[in-house]
Amino acid sequence: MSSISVHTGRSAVQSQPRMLIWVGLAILLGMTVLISLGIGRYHVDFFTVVKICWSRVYSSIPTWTDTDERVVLLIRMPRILMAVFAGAGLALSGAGLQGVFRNPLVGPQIIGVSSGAAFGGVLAILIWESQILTILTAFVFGLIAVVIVFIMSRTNGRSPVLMLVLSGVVVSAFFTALISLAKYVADPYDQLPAIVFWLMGSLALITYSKVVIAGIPILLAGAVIYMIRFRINILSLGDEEAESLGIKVGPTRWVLILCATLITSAVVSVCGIIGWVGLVIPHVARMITGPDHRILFPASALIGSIFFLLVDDIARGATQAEIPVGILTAIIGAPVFAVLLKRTHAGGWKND
Amino acid sequence: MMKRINKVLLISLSLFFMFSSLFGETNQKVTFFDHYNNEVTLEKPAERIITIPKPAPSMFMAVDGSSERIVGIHPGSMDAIREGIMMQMFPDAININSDIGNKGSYIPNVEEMLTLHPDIIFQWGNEGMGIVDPIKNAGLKVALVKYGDQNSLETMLNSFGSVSGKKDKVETIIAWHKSTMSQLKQKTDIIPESGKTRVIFLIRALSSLKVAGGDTYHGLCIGLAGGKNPAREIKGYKVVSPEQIIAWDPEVIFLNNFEAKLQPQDIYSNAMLAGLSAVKNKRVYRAPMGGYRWDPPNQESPLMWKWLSMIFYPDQISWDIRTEMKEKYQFLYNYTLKDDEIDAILRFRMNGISSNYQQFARTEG
Repeated sequence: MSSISVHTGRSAVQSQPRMLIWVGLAILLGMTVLISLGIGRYHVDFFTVVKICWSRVYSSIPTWTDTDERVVLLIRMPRILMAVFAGAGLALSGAGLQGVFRNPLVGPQIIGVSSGAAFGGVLAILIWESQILTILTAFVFGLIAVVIVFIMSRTNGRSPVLMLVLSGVVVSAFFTALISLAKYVADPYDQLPAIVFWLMGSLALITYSKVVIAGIPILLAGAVIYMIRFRINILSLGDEEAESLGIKVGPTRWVLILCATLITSAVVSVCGIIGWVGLVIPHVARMITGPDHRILFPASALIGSIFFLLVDDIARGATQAEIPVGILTAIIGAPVFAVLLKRTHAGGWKND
Repeated sequence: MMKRINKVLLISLSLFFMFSSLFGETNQKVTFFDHYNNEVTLEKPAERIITIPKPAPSMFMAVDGSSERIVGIHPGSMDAIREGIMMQMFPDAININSDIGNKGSYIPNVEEMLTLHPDIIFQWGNEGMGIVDPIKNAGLKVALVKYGDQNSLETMLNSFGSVSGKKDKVETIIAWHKSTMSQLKQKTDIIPESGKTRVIFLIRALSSLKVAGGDTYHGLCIGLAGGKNPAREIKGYKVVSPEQIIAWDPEVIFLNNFEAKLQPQDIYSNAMLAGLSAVKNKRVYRAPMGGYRWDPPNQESPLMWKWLSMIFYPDQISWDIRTEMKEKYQFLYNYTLKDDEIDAILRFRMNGISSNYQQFARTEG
């Protein structure tokens, strides 16, 4: 894979436009959230939605029914929050992983985290039903997957990127086989449909407690990734250059991998496997911001949120039946990725 | 010339009848068509049968009135037998070999089947020939099964009737199904469209909310019992959002039998669904579990249709279900049901908290 160079001394994006991107995307996300609150199978008119939300801040006499309030605050709101967290988390992990591996094709799915975490989640469905244990098992297996990838790819004390990606493919295939095995032994009436539904990815039954359980690790790990944005910038110059600049390559890379694993497992354990967001969104963001991670990270997170929220709006609002959101992200994500790749020849990566 | 032939024919015919009446049942060739129009021929009624479809064993026992002829079943069928009243009615069923398949699939274990020396094997026909050919290649006889609607239920009953030599009983069972349908039609036809109860069936309620569409067997059952399925535009069984269910606002929610831990209470305590008419009026019921789960098509379906109609219209429709259950269990399984067993089948413990369920309670004295 070709190496990329980044201006570290001076940002590719000057601080003025950087602010603009921040603010612009944040406003766009806010609007998407508001619009999403007004979309759904049960009709609540838009002003009522706004009034219901406002009543939480400043209590007022309700002019709406209990059902309206329940739909907006108990069904749509947690689901929207979860979509925002999940989209941001996945896109941020993808952007980080692509940065440290200096490879545009890396995402949580490629290095085996998704399959490992998914297997952990499936195992949890088979054995127990607690949501927190599901996240923990998903995380542990996501981590196991990454550790195996690390050990496999290690040659002469280093992990060449090609070996890393190939090991990721192998480990991913292995955990996918374990998932099939778990499906094979699952009770076909009770557990199997639960596993299949969960693997396809859905936000249909998101509650506030699930948002909190998944949101905390996403926020924490996301903050850590954002904090090491300068180091990632230097790391993306290449291992030797980074080391000569005094950055410990190995530890930095591992901090990022751990954070990405935590985020991915948190998302997977609550929403199932959501593909493509982590791979495609960083590319879209890079086209807007260029390769500087100081602005690429927040832009990826915000665009990820907006994208995933809109996709989930389609999933829950388009037809009477739910469309599994994992299918939609793949159907939308894959062609978008193909077009981007073709049009820009991996633009952001040569952008210097 | 013609006369002679006629004479020979006459003599041979009378000889044939003489012999056939002499040897009677024992020399009867069995021929029937399976669900995929394959002709199946057996030299005599089968003594040893293997079934892979899960509802098949209880249906076969209902037709045959015994578990003796069944030598191998799917492990999933064994679970259903253990869970329900089958264990009391046919205690020997527990010893049937259930190693001929595995829980997660319908792939046959042909070598295990061969050790059982079956006369015929019933296998799913809608899952591809991959699970059928190995059985045929081993030289065993196969009849293919389809399932999921009233027609295939009747075909399945008929083939079991042929195989076990109990065609008369099957005719009576099917006649009972048909007459119940027309009985119900009489009672429900007079209900105006606007007065019909809105009912949804949840085939999954814990891991997701999955409803039955209009073209499903459960959609049919809701209609037979006089209800109106607001999810009728959906094809098959689909996951929907809680919001969609709120938009439909069902008056009755009818729960599946498949999710082992499911109870009406799970719906009542779901904050998202708190505003539904069915929840406010406490009209959520889990399907009973008799000789087989009552929600999928089975030999006892007419009982479920009547049960449903009473749940939909507690003030307008009433049947003596407990008495009919006793009669039909006697007829189907040759078993005398006790009142406690009826309570268990109707799931009084969990459904008892819901409205109007006391209409099914036993009458004192």
